[in-house]
Amino acid sequence: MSPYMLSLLTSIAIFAILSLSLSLLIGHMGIFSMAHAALFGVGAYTYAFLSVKQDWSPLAATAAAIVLAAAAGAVMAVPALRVSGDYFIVASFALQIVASSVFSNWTSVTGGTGGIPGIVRPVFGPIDLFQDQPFLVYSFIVLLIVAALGFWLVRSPFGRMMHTIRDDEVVAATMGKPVRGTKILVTVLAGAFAGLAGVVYGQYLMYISPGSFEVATSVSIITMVVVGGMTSILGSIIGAAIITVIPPLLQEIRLAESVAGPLEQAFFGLLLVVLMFTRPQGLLADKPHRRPRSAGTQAAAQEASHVA
Amino acid sequence: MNLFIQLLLNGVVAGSVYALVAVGFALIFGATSHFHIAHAAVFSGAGYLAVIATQNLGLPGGVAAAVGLILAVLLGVALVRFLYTPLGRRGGQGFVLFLVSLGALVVVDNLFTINLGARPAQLSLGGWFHRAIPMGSWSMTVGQVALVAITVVAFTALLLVLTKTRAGKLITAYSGNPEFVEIVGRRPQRVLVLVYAAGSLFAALAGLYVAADTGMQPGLGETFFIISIMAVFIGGIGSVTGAFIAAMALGVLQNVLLMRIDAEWTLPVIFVLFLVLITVSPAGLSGLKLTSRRRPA
Repeated sequence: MSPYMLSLLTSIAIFAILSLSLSLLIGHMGIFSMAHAALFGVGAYTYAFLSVKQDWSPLAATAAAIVLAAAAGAVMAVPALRVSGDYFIVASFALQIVASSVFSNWTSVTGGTGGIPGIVRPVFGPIDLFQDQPFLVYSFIVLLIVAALGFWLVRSPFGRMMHTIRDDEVVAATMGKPVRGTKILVTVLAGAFAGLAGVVYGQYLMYISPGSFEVATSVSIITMVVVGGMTSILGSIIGAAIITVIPPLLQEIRLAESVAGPLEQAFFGLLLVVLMFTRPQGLLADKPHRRPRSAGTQAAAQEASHVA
Repeated sequence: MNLFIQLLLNGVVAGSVYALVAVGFALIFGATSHFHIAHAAVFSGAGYLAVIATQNLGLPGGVAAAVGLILAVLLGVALVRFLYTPLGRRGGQGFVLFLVSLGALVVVDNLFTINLGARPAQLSLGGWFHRAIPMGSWSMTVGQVALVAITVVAFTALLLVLTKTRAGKLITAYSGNPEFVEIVGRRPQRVLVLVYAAGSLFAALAGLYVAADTGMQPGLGETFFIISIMAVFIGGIGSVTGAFIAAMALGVLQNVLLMRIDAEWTLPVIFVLFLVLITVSPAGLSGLKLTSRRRPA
């Protein structure tokens, strides 16, 4: 396989983990988060800091990164329990900006805008992940594990409870479902998965900087989830593949770097707009995100439930 | 004490920018409940378009600013006319309308970045803009004084229009009940366009000031937008006055915080305070008027 294909497939695997974990939040729990890149960054920075600056073993650093990103997810759950809808979009946006400032400005830990170079990849016995081929296999194994967990989760009774809470919180609470506990658990899980994606990302590039964990990254991950279909595990993987393939394709036309970056972002935005007109549920989901009640009352009912 | 007063003045200037964006958004959000995130594109669009008008068309600063202002308002109107309304007719609601707005923001912002590059796009209105007016041991620039004056005048005018004129009463009627507008023989679509045009005008004024002051940059629109939206939520949804006061307070707080903490941490501190506030009291500081929240465009 050419190095080009290798890097493309590895990126797809990493971003598929991210979009999958975000689809748990957006599609299955109904929590629209603009802070996913922040959780991704917490994982990546924890791993990089511990493995590079504190000489932790890759395994221990990975575990710590997942725990810390899960904890960051729990922090996110605090506003998510109190507010939803438009409020939470703003709250998560605020969290994302706080995280971005921390990544750029907490120089002693994050290396500031210079980032952290020299991140080590793990070694499993004779398998040397410093080669790109084994690393591709490794990243796909991580993706498979996360996808299997996600698939099992949304099909389980717990998954059905998530959907009940997403569709109508009041009904779920009336039925005695633990609304708060479920939301916290799902944000924690999404945080852990995003943190794991961050670890693999840091290991793969062997260098991280704040530019990879900005609002624009969050928007890209959202686009992946929306393109693939918010409630489809397979869809979010395919969404990640589509969005990851676009930038290299645009590079084929050999644009200046200052043009290529914004152009691909603009393309993602256009994709969102077109998709909302043609197939708002995404490519791979066949039923709408929310069952339409009578057209006029639904929005009002949704709005009312935000503050209820 | 001297430093405090200077920071207070700077805070009122920053607060004015936030207030313009926030009042515009409060107007739109109060009337339609639509989380119109492309408001940020109208803000940055005004600045970028004015810069393009000076650089590519060679227009003088003042004329270019007017061109940017008009085009940005047209951008806001075009968004509702060609995206939100058709999508609403197809049954698109809350979340779908938000995503289309997000997509439009990303497209517009990046098209400008392609055109002008990632460097700050500076709008030169002439030397007067940055000339300092000494006020005892403090000072403000002419541009800053003009901004604060324009903000206060525009806000007062909006309040008068909303309460005294027929158009303003239609907007208020629309926020409560869009069908009512139709019943009394007015076209809801016209009211909607009016709301977005007026809201966009406020954001565009702020965008022009920022472009003339520090220059417009990629991502700047989103940052100003999100601070202003916090003000809208703190002030209470549907209340333009609440948004105005909260935005001023945020601007002042952000600058006064400089006495204690470094500049790069003031925004994170404010965001954390906001998160704490909405966690403790989701309705913001004033009462939330749920009755005015109706279906989006």
